[in-house]
Amino acid sequence: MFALVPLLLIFPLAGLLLNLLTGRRWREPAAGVVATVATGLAFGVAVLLLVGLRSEPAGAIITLGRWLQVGTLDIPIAFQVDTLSVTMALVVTGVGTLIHIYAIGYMQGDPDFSRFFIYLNLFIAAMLLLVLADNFLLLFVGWEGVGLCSYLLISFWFDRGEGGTANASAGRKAFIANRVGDFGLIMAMILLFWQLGTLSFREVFARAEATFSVGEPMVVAITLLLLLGVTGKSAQIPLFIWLPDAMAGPTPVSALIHAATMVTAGIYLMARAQLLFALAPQTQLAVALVGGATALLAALVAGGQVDIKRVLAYSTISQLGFMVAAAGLGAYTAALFHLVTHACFKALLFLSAGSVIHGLAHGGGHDMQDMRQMGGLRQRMPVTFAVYLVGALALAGLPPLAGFFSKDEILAAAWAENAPVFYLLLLAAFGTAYYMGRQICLVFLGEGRSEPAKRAAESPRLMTLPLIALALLATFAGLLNLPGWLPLGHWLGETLAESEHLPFNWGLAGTATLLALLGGGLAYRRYRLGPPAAEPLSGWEEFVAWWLILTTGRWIDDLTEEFVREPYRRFSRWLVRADGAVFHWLEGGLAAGVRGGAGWLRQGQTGQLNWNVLGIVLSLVLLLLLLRWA
Amino acid sequence: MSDPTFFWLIWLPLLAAPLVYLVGRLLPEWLCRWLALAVCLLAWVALGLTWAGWTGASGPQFALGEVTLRLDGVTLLLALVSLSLTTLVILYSPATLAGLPGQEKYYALLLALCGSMIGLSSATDLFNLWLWFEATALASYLLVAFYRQQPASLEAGLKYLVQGVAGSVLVLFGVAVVLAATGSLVLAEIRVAASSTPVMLAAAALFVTGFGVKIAIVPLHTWLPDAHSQAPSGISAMLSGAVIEAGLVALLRVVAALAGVTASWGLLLLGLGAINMLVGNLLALPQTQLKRLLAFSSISHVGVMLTGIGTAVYSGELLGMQGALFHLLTHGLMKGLAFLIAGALLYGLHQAQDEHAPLTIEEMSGAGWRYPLAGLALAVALLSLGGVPPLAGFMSKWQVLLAGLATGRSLLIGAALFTAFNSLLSLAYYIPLLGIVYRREPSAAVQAARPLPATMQLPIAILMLAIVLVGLWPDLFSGLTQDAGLALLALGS
Repeated sequence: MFALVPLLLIFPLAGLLLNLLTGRRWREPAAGVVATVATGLAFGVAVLLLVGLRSEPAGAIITLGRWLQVGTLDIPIAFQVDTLSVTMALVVTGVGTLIHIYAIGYMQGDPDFSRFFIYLNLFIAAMLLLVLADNFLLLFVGWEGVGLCSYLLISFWFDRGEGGTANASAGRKAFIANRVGDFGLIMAMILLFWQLGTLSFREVFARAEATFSVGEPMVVAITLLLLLGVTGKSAQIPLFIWLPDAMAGPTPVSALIHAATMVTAGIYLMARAQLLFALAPQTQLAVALVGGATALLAALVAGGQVDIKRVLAYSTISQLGFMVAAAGLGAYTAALFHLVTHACFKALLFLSAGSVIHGLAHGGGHDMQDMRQMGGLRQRMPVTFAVYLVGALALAGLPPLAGFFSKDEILAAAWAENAPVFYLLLLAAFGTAYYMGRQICLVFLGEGRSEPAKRAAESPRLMTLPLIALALLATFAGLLNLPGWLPLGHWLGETLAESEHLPFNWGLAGTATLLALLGGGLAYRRYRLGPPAAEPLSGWEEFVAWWLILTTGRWIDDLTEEFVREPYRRFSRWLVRADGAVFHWLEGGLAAGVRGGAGWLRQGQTGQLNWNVLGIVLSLVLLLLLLRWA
Repeated sequence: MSDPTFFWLIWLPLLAAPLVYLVGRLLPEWLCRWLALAVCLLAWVALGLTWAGWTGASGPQFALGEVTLRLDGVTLLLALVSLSLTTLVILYSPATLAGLPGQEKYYALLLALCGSMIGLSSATDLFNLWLWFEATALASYLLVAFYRQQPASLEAGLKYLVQGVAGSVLVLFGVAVVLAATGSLVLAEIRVAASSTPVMLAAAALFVTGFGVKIAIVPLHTWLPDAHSQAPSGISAMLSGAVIEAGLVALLRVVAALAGVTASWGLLLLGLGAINMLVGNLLALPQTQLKRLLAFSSISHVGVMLTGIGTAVYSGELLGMQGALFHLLTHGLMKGLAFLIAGALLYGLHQAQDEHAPLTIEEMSGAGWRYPLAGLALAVALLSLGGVPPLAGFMSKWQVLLAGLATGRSLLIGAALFTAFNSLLSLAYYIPLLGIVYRREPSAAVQAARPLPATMQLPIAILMLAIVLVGLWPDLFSGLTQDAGLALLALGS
């Protein structure tokens, strides 16, 4: 059964090849159908693996062959089948398939239809490689692969955006921010190999426990470098700046890559390297604080956004912060539980937002994403409204939707482990309800505030069906780890070493729910009739004094501009001047010298035979003298 | 010890030459072409058999009366180069000669040239060395002036003849001086007898100057740009790829024999090499005609070989000689290829339309798109000439450089660095040339260009592949260059 695992990669790769070779020649939906079927088949394989793991929960390592052997470095092409990797594979292929279906409708009429699906399949393959790899280096290949796909898809419409280059530079920003994180991962791998002499997961973890003592500087350094990698890929402080800009990509991409799957790679990495982190309590604390701070900061920023997708982008950063914090607290099951539920409801929200944009485009608004121009869509797009509401409630963490259970587990873990992180997360949860309530009000309630909003129409069935499926998932995914039953906990417990599961805390759950209701209520009170005259907001109900600064999120960009880019630019300008002064002069001098010498020598090339023969004789004389005196 | 295959290797082309001429005169012309090609193939068989019997030690020899010819590594190397080029040039030439009278002379002289170069490389006494050398020169004088209706071609031939004869008179004079001083003409005996007397010094100067004319040692190079650019392109390939190298081999034989005459042989060769490299590169830079540019570049490549030889003579290490001989081989391939392509472009852009004009570099604009194979091959040839890895030219230059660096002596390291610097300098004219060939605006000549016949493309493709293969497997010929280097350094000892 486990030997089927290569098929997981082969299906998307086959779809990609087929589309690459023939996609352009087919009529439009064909490329999308091929890509969807490929992903769907991969999902089928993942389900088979799930069935296999039920009878044999320890899983297996399937080795296909040797990839590299240099000295003692021996990297096989091997896949690890266990409950953790199969859970990830199920999320990637399951949500991926739904998004593929949706994208067939969303990308209708795009001139680069087949290119889009080629990238999507490539992404699925790379992501599966990432989660199935049995060693760090193979994981890194997938890690880079998804980064590449992310770059390609963010700037998919590379000729659009502000000034015709905004989309392209958004892709570049994502790529560069990710490279900083990748540097951390590479350094961590080098240190691991140096210290332990292997990169295979099983060996690394076995030897690490024997080699490192708890809290030893080397293992702290390794895990901190891993954390740097995580902050890049999973958009945490300080590398989260790329994710909001990444919304330049087509909406299915935002849903698949920048909400459900790729950005969770960091969480997966931490869960996989759990034993290393356990050896470094200092890093664990840093992870928890980074996660908590990111969760709160991003939730605050999300409340000030006016672009429908940027709200969701900051929300994703915030929710990833929850997961990272959970991982830092050692609650890996909770982190993965939230990862799964978040994949469902955030994909749902993004796709619904795409449906809103699509609907507005139908009403004549091209690429309209400003929520101030929307409103009143509840009547015009009832299905979208319904599913959006489900997604928003799930995200806000209202029982009995999926987000309630997973977020509650994280809060419970924080309550038990680390009070400051708990309060950070609690405030973030409040902020979540607030910004989602605000978004629902601005987009769907009140009256239409622009022509397209007044003439918007519901999206086609091809798009709404996946939405409904995701809405069902967002509603019932909480069952996966229902308190007292905990199927996901037991399932992942086969792979993850987890401390005992915390009992359900009624007081905590009640507080969190109350806070969520309060946040949502506040937002409703303020925004039910549309945006107040003066945005950004000021007034008694604002609970953070520096809200103004946060409203756009620009300050992060300004900071990097001031302290990173400007000094760098100044340095390079100086280098250019130095180059001009020194090297240019050298080059110029050399060229002039060569040209002058050539001209001078040329005069000797007269073509006069007499002179030539005389030259021969003179040379003889010269040589004689030379030999005589030498 | 007499070896029939070795005998036939030398005499087959030489004896076949008059036969080819007669066939061409009496029977249809195409027959002499095929006959020449068949002779080449037979010579290849002879070379293969000779090589198979080659043990690396003292080779087979045969005597005609007093005259002895002996096979050694140098013979094999030069035979390999000249026979390869001759075969490919015969294959290549029909299109460039189409409609011209006297083709039978062309093929006959080509065979004679090839045979006399192999003979030159196996001569064991001074007089025969000179004799074979003159035979080589005679054949090439006639070939340079093959387009005898064209003033430029005749002028080049005349210059070549006069300067070549002046050189060969000096060599003959040197032979006489050596005979008078040592009483022997056999190279091995001279080596034992040679001492540092003024007379012998004079002889050394005579040889260096005399052979220097043929090798185009600066400042004796003035005939070369004319001769190499005015000759039919196939002949240019032979001249640059094999004939000047044959002159170098002749000089080396003499240097080995006169090793005892002066202690500064190494220094002298290094100095000449440095001057040749620099002057050749500087003069190539402002050229506006492709074939003249290639001709000047040959001068600088002779400099590279001289540097390698000088390194070996100066330090007594084999590696430098091996590098120089390897460069002799790769230069034969690269420069042969470059001239064949130049001829092909000349044919496509001018000759096929019955124009006779030199091919200027400007006219080649966009030619790489019109002739994909020739463009690619030109890129390979030029990059290899410029010493870009991993092509053959890099490997041989690298060996020369390495030889200098490995000795650890500051003078030789300096010479090696100077070689590297000149390699860089040469890119200053190779790279812009490539830029022009792959420009997107085709020149008027390229727009009107005619297709190239397959007989031209095949030799080009073969040489291109050879350059790539030798670049990838530089060890392929290291055994051969080692034997040849030993033969030159350790003669008679």
